[in-house]
Amino acid sequence: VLVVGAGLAGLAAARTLRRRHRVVLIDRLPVAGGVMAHQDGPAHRLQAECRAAGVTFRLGATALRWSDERRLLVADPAGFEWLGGERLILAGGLRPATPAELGIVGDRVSGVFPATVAFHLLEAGVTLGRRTVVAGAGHWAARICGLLQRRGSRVTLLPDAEQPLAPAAETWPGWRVVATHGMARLQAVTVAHGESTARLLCDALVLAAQMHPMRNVDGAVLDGGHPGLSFLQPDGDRMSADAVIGWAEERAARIMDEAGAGNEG
Amino acid sequence: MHCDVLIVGGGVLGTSLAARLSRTRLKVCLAERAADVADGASKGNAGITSSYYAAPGTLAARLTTASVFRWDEVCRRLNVPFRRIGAVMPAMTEPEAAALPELCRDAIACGVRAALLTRDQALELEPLLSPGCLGALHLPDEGIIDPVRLTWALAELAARNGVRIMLGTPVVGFRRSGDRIAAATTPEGEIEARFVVNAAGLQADRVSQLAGGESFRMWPRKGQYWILDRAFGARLRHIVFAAPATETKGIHVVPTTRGSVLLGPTADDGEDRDDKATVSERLQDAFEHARRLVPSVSLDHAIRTYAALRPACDEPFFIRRDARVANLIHTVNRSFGVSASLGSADYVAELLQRDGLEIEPDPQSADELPFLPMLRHTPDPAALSGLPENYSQIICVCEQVGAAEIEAALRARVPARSVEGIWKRTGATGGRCQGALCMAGVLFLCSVHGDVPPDALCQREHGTVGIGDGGSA
Repeated sequence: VLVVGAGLAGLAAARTLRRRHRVVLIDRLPVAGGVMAHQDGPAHRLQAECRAAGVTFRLGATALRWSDERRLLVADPAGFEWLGGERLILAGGLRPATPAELGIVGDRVSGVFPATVAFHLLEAGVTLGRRTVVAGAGHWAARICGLLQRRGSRVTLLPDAEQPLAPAAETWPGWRVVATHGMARLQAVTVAHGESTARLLCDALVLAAQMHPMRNVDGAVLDGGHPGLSFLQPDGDRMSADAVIGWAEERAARIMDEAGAGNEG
Repeated sequence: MHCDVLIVGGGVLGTSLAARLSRTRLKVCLAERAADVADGASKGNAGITSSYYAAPGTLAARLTTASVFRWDEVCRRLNVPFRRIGAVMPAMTEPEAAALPELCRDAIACGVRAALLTRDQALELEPLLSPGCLGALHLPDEGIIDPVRLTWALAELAARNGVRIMLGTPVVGFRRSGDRIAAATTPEGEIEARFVVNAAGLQADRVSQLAGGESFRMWPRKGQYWILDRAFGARLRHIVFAAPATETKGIHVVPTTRGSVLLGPTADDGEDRDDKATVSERLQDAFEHARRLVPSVSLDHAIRTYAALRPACDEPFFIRRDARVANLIHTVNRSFGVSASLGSADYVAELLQRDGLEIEPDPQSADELPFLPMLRHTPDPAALSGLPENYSQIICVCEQVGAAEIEAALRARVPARSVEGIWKRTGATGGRCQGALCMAGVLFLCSVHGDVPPDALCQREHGTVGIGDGGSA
């Protein structure tokens, strides 16, 4: 079994699967634990248990393509390699929704950032904007709002009604961005809530509104239709670490039961 | 500065001419007002190399035919993705079906292959076509190309052969001498030129006006597109054209060389030459029209929408010497600039020669670019050898672009200077996650390479990433 993604879900699945299968765990980052959790205790413990159980780690290796012959193309700085596997389990985590997925139209401008990119840029000391609109309020938004404010940006947060709040100067619960405006750089966004619309002046927009599963291995994108492929990606980013681990273990076991029964689930 | 030929405009028509003339002993300059080549219609088209565009015997048909069978070879030399996948044009109504035989005859008269298909033949050839189609025209010589990489590659070849590519250099005036242009004025100074070619796309009327040339009017025809994911694109085998002048209004379903699928374009004439905004209602129209042709298209697969402006003109296509200015040649093409670009470059060269420019081939000039395989287009990367050491260090996973390809884009003679510039040359950041995973990495590579702080780097051609020192608010 090939497991792509060594975050909490991938680690938990690998540990479970190792009881009955040979398991290779692949992650593009050089450390296990995933983007958000590599410094956390549960990831450390899981990784130690996986290693003790004999899971093969391929860290710093990027999975690129899954072929109909059930081979996975993997790239690392040493070169390319096709890894054979009876089954591919994609535990690639989540990413922020794109403007197309959020239905945002309007001008194509600089100053619009997926939350992941905004986070890295802010960490590197880049001042993204003086007035920033953050769409969404999941865990990315919480971290980003703090960083933005520390860099002197006035933050307007547009959380879904039920999302936990992050620090912001202004909060517009339930409003969403529907259009971007500007010539070269972002100058304003149109936001909507039901039938109402408003225009917010801003020079940066951070997209943190919905989390979508990261599906960037070619030939392993759609649910169903690919041989030997299963996804292990939670629906949203609000589960606790323990909940993710429990969910991943259960789901991994079920995937292999179904595969064993000849059911390409 | 002095040159034999000054080309105004770094779109596909300007750069193909620059590449053509770079194989001669002429001294050539190309001035582009944007910060990069391929910044107008050349980056916002459907990426089709048409086999047939206009009635046989017309100049438009002649230049398309002169280009169509050269793509395989040109794209191999320039390492530009190209596939001759063919097109089908289904007839969805009786009037559409009645129009197909004439189109078929015209295409054959233009020297390309064409055949009428029954409904069953059409569905066998392209199973994703609507089962409601009454028949179809098959055009097997149609191809798909990466038009942005093509435009860059033509500029790159030209630059390597000594053409001076001046980016961020608008032509703001001309100095005349009698009925001729003596020099063009730019913020970089004067460029004296024996001949000037106006390949300025949507700005062609303004360039002509500045030169005291013919008065014609250009306006933007906005086209809006959806890009659907490769997961859908893998199933579509052909370009699916809407039959002309029908309810589908020219909305096509077009596979791209990157494996995705375009739905579009809409066609809305406007006045504002900077208005590239997408509009929900028109995007929805485009989708509905596309769905008539290919019912399985789904917006669940949408990865991006965009709008681009075609350079519309009272006369949609012309290449000719200006009636008032003896050494000015216009090359204006609304809709099939890519398809006719190779033939158009040869034709402009003929016109220049006819007007007294001696065009002597330069046997020392290069006809190809140094080859670095594009990972995305390599079926078995494990079999590659002799690669740069960071070739397999993947930056953009969705589009399969490694550090070596990005560095090549940064080190080119016509180099990437922005995140969008990297996208143009490599495709990085343009995949299904739209840069969520890789954009920060791409940006830092640009920043380090160009010694520009990340704040001040451009995300698009215009508009910086941040607003720190050196950034624009």
